[in-house]
Amino acid sequence: MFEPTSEKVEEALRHIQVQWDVARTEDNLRLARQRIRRRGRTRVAVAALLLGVAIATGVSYRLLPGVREAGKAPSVVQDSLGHGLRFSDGSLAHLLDDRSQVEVAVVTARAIDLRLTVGRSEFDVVPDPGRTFTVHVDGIVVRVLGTRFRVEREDRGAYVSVYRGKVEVRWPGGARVLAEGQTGHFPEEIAEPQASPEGEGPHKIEPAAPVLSAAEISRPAAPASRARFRALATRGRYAEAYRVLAGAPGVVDSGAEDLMLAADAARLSGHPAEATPYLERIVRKYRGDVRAPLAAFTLGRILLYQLGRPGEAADAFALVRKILPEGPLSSDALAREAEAADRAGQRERARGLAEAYVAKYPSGRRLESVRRYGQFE
Amino acid sequence: MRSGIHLRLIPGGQAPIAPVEPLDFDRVFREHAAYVAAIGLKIMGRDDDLDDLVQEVFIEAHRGLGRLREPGALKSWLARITVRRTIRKLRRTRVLMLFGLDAPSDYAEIADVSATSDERAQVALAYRSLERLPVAERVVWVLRHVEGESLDDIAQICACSKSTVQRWLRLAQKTLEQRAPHV
Repeated sequence: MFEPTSEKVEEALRHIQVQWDVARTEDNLRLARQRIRRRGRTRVAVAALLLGVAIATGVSYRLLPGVREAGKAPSVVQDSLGHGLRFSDGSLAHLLDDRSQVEVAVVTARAIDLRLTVGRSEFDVVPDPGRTFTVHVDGIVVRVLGTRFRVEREDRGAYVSVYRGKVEVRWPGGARVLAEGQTGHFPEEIAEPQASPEGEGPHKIEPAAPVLSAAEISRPAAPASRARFRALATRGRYAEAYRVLAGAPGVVDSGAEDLMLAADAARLSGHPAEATPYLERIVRKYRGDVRAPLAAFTLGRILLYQLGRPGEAADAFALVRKILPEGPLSSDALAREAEAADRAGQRERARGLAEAYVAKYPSGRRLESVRRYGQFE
Repeated sequence: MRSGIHLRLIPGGQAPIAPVEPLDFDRVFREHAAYVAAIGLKIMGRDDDLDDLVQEVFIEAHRGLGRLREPGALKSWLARITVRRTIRKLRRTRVLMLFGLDAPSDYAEIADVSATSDERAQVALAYRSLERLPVAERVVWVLRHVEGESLDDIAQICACSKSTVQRWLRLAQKTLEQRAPHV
């Protein structure tokens, strides 16, 4: 007979623990952001429709410029910790280290102009079609189209990465629009290639029985199929997206965003092996992209837990730390690398990694399991 | 501020970089996703719908985050959303199972690796018994006996009175004792 509040049952219920780690958090955060953006776009479309109807039924559009003229310039204050600027419209400039400096040049109802004079800063800009938001770095102008992005001064120019939305980067002699997930060194004539040559470095990952070759992935498909794949994958309908992908591998272009969508479609529809070539391509070609560490980590998890290839998994986790040594996945990647090395029978490597983990994260969440992999007990 | 006026921002101190926005969505997600997932898992008794639940909770939270005036209330607010969303999922699952469109869960899987086979069996038995309860009674029983919440906290999370919580707990207990499956 089952006794719901007996000690035996209570003891058993204490063993219900959620298997939740940093990678699962990051994965879900990314998917949640996608879903929020999608809803936002739907709302914008509905709002646009309503506005159109309102105009059509006689609401005078002339009122709008009047309202805009009456608008006040947003106020700007330094945040309480002294690490950034906060504008009254909700936009933020967030300095990334103590040395960085931002100057406010212009703040009016129609324009916010900032100058990054030293270091690096992130900008989270609330879209407002009535005013421009620009960041100047020497002769380079980053014009915001409603977004979150980072600008870093370099010896001869600037490095720009876009997390959300779009920016337009202008420099004497050129201009380029960067979309979400894209990065670039500017001016472009001094830019160095971001992609690491294939096979370079100690942590080369060989494609492990890829189902799709790079040529197949890159083969162009009909625009309608491509649009359908993207629509399905971004809506989280992975099984259907994977069916489109399997029928026409060329629906995926060579950009990091499409490769990540393809990897998601494959692994989340129950085809982990088919996800690996896409993740490997992100890691090889887009090492400077914000998605690269997560791609390497996901690759490691698939190789370790789903495909039973711990040696390759250990190399993938090592790449996470190599790409972004102090990133949010670093500690978890180190622990998993130790686990993968242990499972692959690489005892010395596992022990070394476990020692490194204990030294670097003495109160780390995975300390106990890492000690086991290092065979400390 | 007029055009041409320059404000130079020079940060002071060696404090670690903190997000400017006190309730930044990404930070809230990273800090509380595991908590939301833990509540969801304990109420649902299955892991396969957990990612979707966590995303739904934070999507709903995203809409109200800017209106939350008291950062200290964030955790219980998230718990309320989680419970509400989990109840919806449980009700949907019951309907699907009624029509044979969802397979029964293997509840033993939610026990951690350190559980003995007997403890796994107890966990599975407990959740099979909970399937027989109305959803609201199941939620308060889990919050009380699995999550270990106080009656006051459960009342707050479930947005009901303490006496309602006590009544649901009594009913749940009675049903579990009378109609529990045999091992």
